[in-house]
Amino acid sequence: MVDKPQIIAHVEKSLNYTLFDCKWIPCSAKFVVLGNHARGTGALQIYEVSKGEVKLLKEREKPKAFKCGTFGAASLQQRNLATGDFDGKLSIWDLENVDTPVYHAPAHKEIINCIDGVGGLGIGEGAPELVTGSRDGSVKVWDPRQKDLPVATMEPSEAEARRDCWTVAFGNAYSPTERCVCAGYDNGDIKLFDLRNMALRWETNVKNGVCSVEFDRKDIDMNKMVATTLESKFHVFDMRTQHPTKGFASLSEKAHKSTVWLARHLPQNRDVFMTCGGSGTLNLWQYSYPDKRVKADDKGVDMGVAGTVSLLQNVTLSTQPIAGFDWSPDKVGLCVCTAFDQCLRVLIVTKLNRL
Amino acid sequence: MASPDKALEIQMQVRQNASEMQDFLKDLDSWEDDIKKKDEALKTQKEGHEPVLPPIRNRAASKKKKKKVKTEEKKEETGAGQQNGQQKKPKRISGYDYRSWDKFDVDQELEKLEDEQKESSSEYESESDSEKALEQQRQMQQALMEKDRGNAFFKEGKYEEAMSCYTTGMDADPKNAVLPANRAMALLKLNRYEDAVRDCTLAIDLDPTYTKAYHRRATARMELNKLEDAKRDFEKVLSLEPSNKQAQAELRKIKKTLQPATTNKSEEVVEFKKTKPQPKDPPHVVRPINKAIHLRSKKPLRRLVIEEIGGEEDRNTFQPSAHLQQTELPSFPSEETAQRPSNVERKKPASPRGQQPVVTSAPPAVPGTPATALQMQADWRRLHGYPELLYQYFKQIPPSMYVKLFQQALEPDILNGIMALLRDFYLPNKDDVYSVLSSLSEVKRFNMAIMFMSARDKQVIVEVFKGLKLLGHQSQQDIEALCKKYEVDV
Repeated sequence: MVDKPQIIAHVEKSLNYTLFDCKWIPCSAKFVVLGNHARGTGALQIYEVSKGEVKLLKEREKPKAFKCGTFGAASLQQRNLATGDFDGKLSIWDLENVDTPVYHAPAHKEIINCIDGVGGLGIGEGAPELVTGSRDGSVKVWDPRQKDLPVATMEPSEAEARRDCWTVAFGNAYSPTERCVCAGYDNGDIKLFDLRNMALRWETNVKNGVCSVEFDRKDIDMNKMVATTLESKFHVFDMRTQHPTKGFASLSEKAHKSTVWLARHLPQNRDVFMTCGGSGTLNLWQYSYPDKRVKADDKGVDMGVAGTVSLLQNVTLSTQPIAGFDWSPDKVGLCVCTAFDQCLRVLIVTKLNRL
Repeated sequence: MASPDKALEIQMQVRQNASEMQDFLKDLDSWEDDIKKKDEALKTQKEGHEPVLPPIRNRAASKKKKKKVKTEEKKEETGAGQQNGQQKKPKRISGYDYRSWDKFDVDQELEKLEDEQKESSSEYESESDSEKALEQQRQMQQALMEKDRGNAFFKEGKYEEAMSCYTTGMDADPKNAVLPANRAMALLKLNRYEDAVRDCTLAIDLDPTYTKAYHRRATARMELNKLEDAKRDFEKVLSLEPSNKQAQAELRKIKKTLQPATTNKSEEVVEFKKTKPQPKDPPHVVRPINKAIHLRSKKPLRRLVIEEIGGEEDRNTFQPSAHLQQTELPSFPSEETAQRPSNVERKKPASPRGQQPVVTSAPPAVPGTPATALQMQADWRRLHGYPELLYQYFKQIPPSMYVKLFQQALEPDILNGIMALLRDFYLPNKDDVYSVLSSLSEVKRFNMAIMFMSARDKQVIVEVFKGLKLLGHQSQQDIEALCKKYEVDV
């Protein structure tokens, strides 16, 4: 009880546009906030945390509203931000010079809901790559070295219905060749694409629309993955052992009493993650592994065993959904979140190093 | 007693949390300073060694990259060219400078312009090349799907639908030879022979080694009565696929009809010719010799005296002698060998058209019921030319044995022969034609044999069915069901 981590709103700042995403700039005390102005244009702001307040360093308004961004495929020197916008365009920005993008591709026909990157920042082996998921139902993988065309496209065939792709995440990037993309769809489908074999490796349906998926680490042999859904539920999959018919073992947990918008793993401890709720709440969870992670089924085939999660802390910050959240990769316990009440909050979570 | 403890505990926890937070904030301040320094250092630090990255995922991408490098080079070149051009470029000639205009070479200037345009357009092409490659692959797949759909329709006998599938497939992938060939098959079924010939020609243009296309074109041409062309196609089929029995049979048939029509030559000549191009017996094959001129023999050409060797009765001794002849002239240039058969033909005694071969030997005895397909074929061939005996022979085979007997080998010529027997003997004798027909239709590959029947052969079947109806042993429905199997209308 005594060592329960505390979640404290360090700085709160009200803004005049809708906030969709926030990301710490690696190796700095700065973060970017992405969103959309009331007139439909895109907002990109860079803030710095300094002595108990946040200072606006840079601000740009772009023709199209931004939905999501990532630094995952950028080198540590350049720290270029990749964004997806409401028009389906993928852009990469040099934050020192935000006037024109350094890379631009008409990636999707409709809004890019989600983006993830790997291979940059020293996280993940292999080439830097981005993945985008869109309302048009397709998931595309991009290499910033290649103009205009994706290096891989995963989309339903003509005959199949196109589901809205809400979330994508990279994982399994522990060698230059291995790499996986996990995508969640509005009908509850979760699909795991193996980029090395260019094949669908696994799929399941969790009944409710999948708002967010994230591997606990992108750059290791898949360990576990969290998927959050509508109707106040999230699932944790043990990704180490894939059973030929049963797939991956999982647990599901109720949280937030509303949509679980996001799950984000603590960069310094992969078994701790934060979930963000539609009621403006944040929940901090810790995953405990079972005694044995693998057991044999009645035919002697290995199958995974799911562990358990325990709630570490629960706070209410807002009345509106918290749609953006990012842990600082450089400072344990420092995080930023954005909510639909047009506020950005810098939070500190204490005692994380004592878990 | 517990409540003061608890209050104390809570108080302690609050204090602890507060101090924890104070610590964190202090820590945060110092971290901010640290990280800012680090950040600045990163900004000023110029890019160090680039890590070696794996190539861009998927093949089309790498191709694209190469192209890009190339175009960049090109751009540099053209850029340099432009600079040079700027230096070299003569100043605009004024309208009054008639002397300069006299020297101005319009054609050369136009050529230059054209070259420039070409260059720029080729650059543009390479930009969109990989996109094109992707698109092409997609279209090829679509074409294959259309082909499969078309084949399904074809199997159901929906030839029009099959045709439209093949057409869309051809639009998607105009380089696929299978699609026009399949459409040709559908057109053949619809009796649109001219169109079928055109499609086959297209398929052959795309793939000159596509045997089926030649075969189908030959069939279509036969229907159009272009026998010479059909013959050429069948010969091509045989040159590509020497063991193709159908083509051999068809070719023989064409030659039979062709020979009396063009020149008045005897059956023996046909028989003789038949032994010539038969690819079945390799020792007798005379292939045209294509030698470069400088490699050819320098000896003067020499006329060959060809001895005449008896008629039909000598056929057995004839073959070895032909073999001997050929061994004498292996090094002869192709012109000579090509001419030879026609020389021989002229010297052969002519006999009027349609006459039975002159047979001096006694008619063979009717063999017993055959046990195997091979025996049946041998017997059939032996009795060929003696329809009376053939009738006796065939009659003794119970229809229930057909399936076993013919197995894989219901050849069109045998089927045609049977049909002729049915018409000429069974019907007049009021034998059981129906059971023969229905048993035959159960033989494997029966459909194929029917499919390749010419209109003339089909006519025989129609006559048989007409006779069958007149006999009236069977119900009308049974006969009609059988008609469908034989693909004829009565």
